[in-house]
Amino acid sequence: MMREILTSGVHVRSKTSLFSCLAIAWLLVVGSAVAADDELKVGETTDFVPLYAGKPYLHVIHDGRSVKVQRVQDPDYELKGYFAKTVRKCPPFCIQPETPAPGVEPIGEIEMFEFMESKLRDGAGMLIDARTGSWYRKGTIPGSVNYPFTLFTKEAGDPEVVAALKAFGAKERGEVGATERLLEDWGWSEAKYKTANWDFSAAKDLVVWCNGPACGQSPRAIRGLLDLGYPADKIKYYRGGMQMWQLWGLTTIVPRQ
Amino acid sequence: MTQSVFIQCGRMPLFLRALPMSCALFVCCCLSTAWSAEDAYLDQLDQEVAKVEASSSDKASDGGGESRDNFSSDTPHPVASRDNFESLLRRQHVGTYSFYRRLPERSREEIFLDYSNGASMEALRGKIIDRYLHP
Repeated sequence: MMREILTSGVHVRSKTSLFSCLAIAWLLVVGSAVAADDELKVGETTDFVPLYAGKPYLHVIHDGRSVKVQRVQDPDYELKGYFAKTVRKCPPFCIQPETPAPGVEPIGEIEMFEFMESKLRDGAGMLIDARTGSWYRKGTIPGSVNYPFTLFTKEAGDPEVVAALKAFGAKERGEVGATERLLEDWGWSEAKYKTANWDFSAAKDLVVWCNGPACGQSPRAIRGLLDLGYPADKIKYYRGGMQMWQLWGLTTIVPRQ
Repeated sequence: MTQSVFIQCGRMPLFLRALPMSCALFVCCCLSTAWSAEDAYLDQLDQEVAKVEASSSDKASDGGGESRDNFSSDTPHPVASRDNFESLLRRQHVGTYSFYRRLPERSREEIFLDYSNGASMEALRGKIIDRYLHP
């Protein structure tokens, strides 16, 4: 009898613990379901499509005015027109490699946004639309300035090239003394960003872009810049260009004539 | 035999006399090929750009060239004066303005500069509070 009571007591206790376990499990399941439901609701009620998670939009100065850069909010938006084309005559409009020259870093959209909000805003960087003027006038990425690639294929001493390099923050070195040159040659003086004629130490970071992955204009500009001595680690290549920018429904701007 | 190969002109064979001319011709050809390749690329670019319809203009043309949609409702005007900015702040965000006017001149100047440089009002409000809490 006693044994029966004991066993039944154990039985009852084990039943109780089983119930509590089940209850906890049920709570966990329901809790997670509610949480998932909450997340779903948040997702459903927020229609705004941000630039990327946690970044709804940004502002950039273009031609002295503040421009809001954001995604197209129409869920039915489809890219149409020239930049929706998948094929163009090749050559010359062939798919470009990810890196146009050794040492030049290719970047994507998020890096573009970060650049716009940091170096571009601080004046430590420039967005270079390397397309010819006629392309630029059809529309550009906000914050960009137009330096056509043809400029960088000119002679180093060309006044336009000199003006461009100065605008990028490079400094003309003038006459370099024999001692200084010797020290630089021996590595005793910092010469990483110096060429015979230019000091690129304070030169700005450049993000160079053109029409997209099948556009050769910005790679040409980059190679031209490198030939002029511009440091490769101060040049970034936005290969996506206008095509990818528009594909993501990002703000473009028609420059004032 | 020698005469059949070289036409003597003084003491120099004809092919030697023609060498500088050939070199010059070769260089000219190379240059013109390079030039014409660059030229052809530019021509093709011009042809392509003609195909670009005003798709960008659809999104972003508004007389002056820039879309209203692309500017935030609180877009700061680059030539706005500090008085205008302060009156805007007082009108639209009274609470933030009360913090703003307690900031030291240096911070207020910085906030206005940010505004002139295109910072959003949301960011400015955050900065004002931050400056107030962490002077």
